[in-house]
Amino acid sequence: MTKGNFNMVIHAPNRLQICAFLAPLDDAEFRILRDELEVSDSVLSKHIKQLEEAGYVKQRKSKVVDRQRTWVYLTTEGRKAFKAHVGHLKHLMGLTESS
Amino acid sequence: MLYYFPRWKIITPENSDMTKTTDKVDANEAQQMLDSIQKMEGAGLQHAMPPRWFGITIALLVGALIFVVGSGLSQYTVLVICLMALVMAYQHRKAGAAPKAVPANKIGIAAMIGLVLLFLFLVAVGRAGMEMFNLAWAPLATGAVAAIVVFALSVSERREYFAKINGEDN
Repeated sequence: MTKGNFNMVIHAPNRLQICAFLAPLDDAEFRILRDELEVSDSVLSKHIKQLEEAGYVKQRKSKVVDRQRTWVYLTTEGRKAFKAHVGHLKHLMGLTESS
Repeated sequence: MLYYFPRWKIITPENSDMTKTTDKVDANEAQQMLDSIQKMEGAGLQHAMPPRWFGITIALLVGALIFVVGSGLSQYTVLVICLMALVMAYQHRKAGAAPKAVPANKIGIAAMIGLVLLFLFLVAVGRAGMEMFNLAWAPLATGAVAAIVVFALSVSERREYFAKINGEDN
């Protein structure tokens, strides 16, 4: 799936946005991600599942006052893959030399 | 499996937006993606940025902790620590996002050690002031100093967040 630094799993617009949102965070709640991406629960679940299958994100569930909350976070591998993908995009833009 | 769109367009998993991927990216597209990444990172940071009330509350609680330890009211220490934990848990739940923890690099570790040493020093000063020089206000003063230090740190953290959100680090 990965061609050099270019990552086909992360490259899809919504998945790229999920990774970008999670990159500066330890974790984020599912509903926050859904609202930020302006997608439905099922669409977000599908993207998260694909990222999860690639080993880039993980989910954990917690129960607060009878309400199930799902938290999503980037794994170390996911952070590396995202960083490499951003590096590739910057390289395409010719930013690597300047930074 | 094909999903039939009204009239003519046939959507397959291959051509749907959800799985639209290609390894041919031109500079224009790359720029759009980088802009989108920066926007989403900013959105993530915006959610994780601790609100002003959080900084003030934690500053007051740290000040209270230094005061109770310094003045020998150790029975209230657990109460203050529990309150801190509750405030942090509430903020985490309310924000729906947690910022990355302090980086485990040399600077981060040194800063943490420095802060702990400062608090221990303030406790010692407060206790010495009260017991040796009979200054009843000494623990209160050291508590206030600790609260001001923590509040200043929270303000500087918020500034850092704003700088990152506005892309000043690039």
